[in-house]
Amino acid sequence: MAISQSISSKKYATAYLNVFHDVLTIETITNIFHAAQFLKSHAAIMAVICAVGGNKKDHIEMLKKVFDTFKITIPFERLVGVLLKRNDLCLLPTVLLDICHLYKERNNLLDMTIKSAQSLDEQEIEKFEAFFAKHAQKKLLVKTEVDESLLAGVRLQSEIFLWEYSIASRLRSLRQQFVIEG
Amino acid sequence: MSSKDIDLVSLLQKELQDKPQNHLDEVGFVVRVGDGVCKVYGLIHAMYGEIVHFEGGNKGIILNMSEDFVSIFLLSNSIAVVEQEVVKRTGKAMQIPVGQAMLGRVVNALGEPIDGLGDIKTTEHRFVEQECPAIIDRTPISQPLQTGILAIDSLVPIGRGQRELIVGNRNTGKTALAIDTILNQKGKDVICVYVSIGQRQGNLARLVRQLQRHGALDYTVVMSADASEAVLNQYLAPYAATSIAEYFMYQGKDVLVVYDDLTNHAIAYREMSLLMRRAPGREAYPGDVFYLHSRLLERAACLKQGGSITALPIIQIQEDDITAYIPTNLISITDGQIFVDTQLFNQGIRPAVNVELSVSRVGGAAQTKAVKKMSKALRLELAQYHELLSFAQFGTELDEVSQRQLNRGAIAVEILKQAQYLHYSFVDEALILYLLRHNYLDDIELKQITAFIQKFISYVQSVCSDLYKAIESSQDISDELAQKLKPVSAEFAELFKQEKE
Repeated sequence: MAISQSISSKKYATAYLNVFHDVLTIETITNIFHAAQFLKSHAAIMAVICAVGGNKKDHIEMLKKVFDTFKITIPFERLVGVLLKRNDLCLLPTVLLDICHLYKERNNLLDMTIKSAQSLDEQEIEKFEAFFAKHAQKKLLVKTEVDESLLAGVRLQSEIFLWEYSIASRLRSLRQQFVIEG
Repeated sequence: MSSKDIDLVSLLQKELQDKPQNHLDEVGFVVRVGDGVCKVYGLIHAMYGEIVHFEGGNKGIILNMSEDFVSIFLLSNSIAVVEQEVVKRTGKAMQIPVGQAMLGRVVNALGEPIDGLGDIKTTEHRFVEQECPAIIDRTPISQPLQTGILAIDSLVPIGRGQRELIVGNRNTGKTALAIDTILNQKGKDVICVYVSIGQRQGNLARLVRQLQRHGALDYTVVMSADASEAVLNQYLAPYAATSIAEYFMYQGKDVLVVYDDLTNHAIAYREMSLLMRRAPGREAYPGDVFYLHSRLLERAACLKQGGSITALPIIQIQEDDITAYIPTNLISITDGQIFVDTQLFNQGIRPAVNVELSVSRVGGAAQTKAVKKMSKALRLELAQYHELLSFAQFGTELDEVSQRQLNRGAIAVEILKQAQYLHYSFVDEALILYLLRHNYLDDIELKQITAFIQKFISYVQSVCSDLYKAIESSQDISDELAQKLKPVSAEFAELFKQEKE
């Protein structure tokens, strides 16, 4: 994406959050994120919506169907209206993603995945969450996953932080020392 | 149990003893990768020039930062980097191992040995990008760096701490000049660093063999970033080599660095800049291409507390066009240039140094008295000769004075011819110039001149060794010594004539 488009998208997202921040919840943000990813990965759908002529209502009608699928109940008509007015409707998926990022940033939230070789109990998850939150200085939105490729151990990962103590990471480090660095 | 097994056991033991770290790693994710560069999301506190580690084992350097992404150039082309791969910050800028053990070795831009002679045991590291020495720490250039090449030492002398550009078309002997200069440093307590940028591996192998054969590898470090390597390595190599040179300079040693060549370096940087989508300027080079070389060559210096770095950057030009972008930049950065001429090369005048276009802005102050005194009128004589030669080509009848000037010019050109790997000491050079200055060569056939001067040098060395040593120790041909040299020269000229008859 061109730099100017990325900047515009951020500006739309900031403006939207300035107006609708209080209406949004973490749940809605998660749904918006999924919808944005869907629209990004299915570029053809966005292309059809953008290419359709007619009035604002037709576009909103089409997008409403997508949003309903992802259980998004927030007011988005005005956002679509502004994007249409400025011929920027194709930026919608990026704007939605930026809304999610900015919302998390403003509320000091961070998505975190706990990957472990075996499933963890509540107590263990809480321990890891507390450790990660303490060091990252953020409120966490935790997701757990069983990843057998770790062999043993755990991997705590967010968009910007990583903590790993697993056999897989040890093997990687050994490979680095023996195979790559000779 | 083999040594490799023992290593593995100790490594595994270390791994098992490791405790989990009590901090989080700052990471990012690869969004796009291609052409040796990748775009990474995350790495929020990344620094420009920071080294990062990829989970797959590759390493890279951050060279561009935008609001959401950073551009990272990869240090290796052979280790795959995949989309969504985790990239870890190290918080460190690029460093290179330095030390005495680097001497005699061939290394890559990361300081790793590539000559198959095993590990290099060094304990110190230096940053690849360093601040250049401050003005207060520098001192004017006062000591000569003898190249052993008469044309250079007499007409474009180089001082220790100087930056002298070697510029010329391809295959005109630019590298040969630099190599001869390295070979001539044997026994002179000068450490040499040769950086090969974007050259063929075969050429480098040949060059290393030459250095080895002449016993020059013992005091030389060869750094290679050949054409097959990642573009980042070609960009880093001259900076890394300068860091090695700085290590020796700050120990009070004199160092000679040859950058062969900076055209390829500029091309590598242009490629990187275009991949980073920086705005292209003249000849598609980015706007900071001047700074690319100025910050490199400003690291060459002559320090007050002792120690110096003399830089010999090489530039290749097309069709003798010295006014192209990179050559003009480098001419303005350096303290002079040696122009190597294709026409002279093809005429058999080697080294093909064009004395009219070559200049040394600071080296004159460092020239030995003996050579300086004897070469006073040489440049003027050569200029007059070249001017008259163009008239003579039209078949113009020339007066006696002009004819004499032509003859003397031809002799001067002849004495400046010098075979590769043949080096003169400054005393030899002073003696040759003495012969020219005092007309001892006027009656010698042009074909015989080389033989005459070679034999004269040996004659003075063997028969009048006191005289030779007196010039060597005083670094001057004083009036008294000149008086002593007069009968010796006349006697030798007579002997040479008799021998020929």
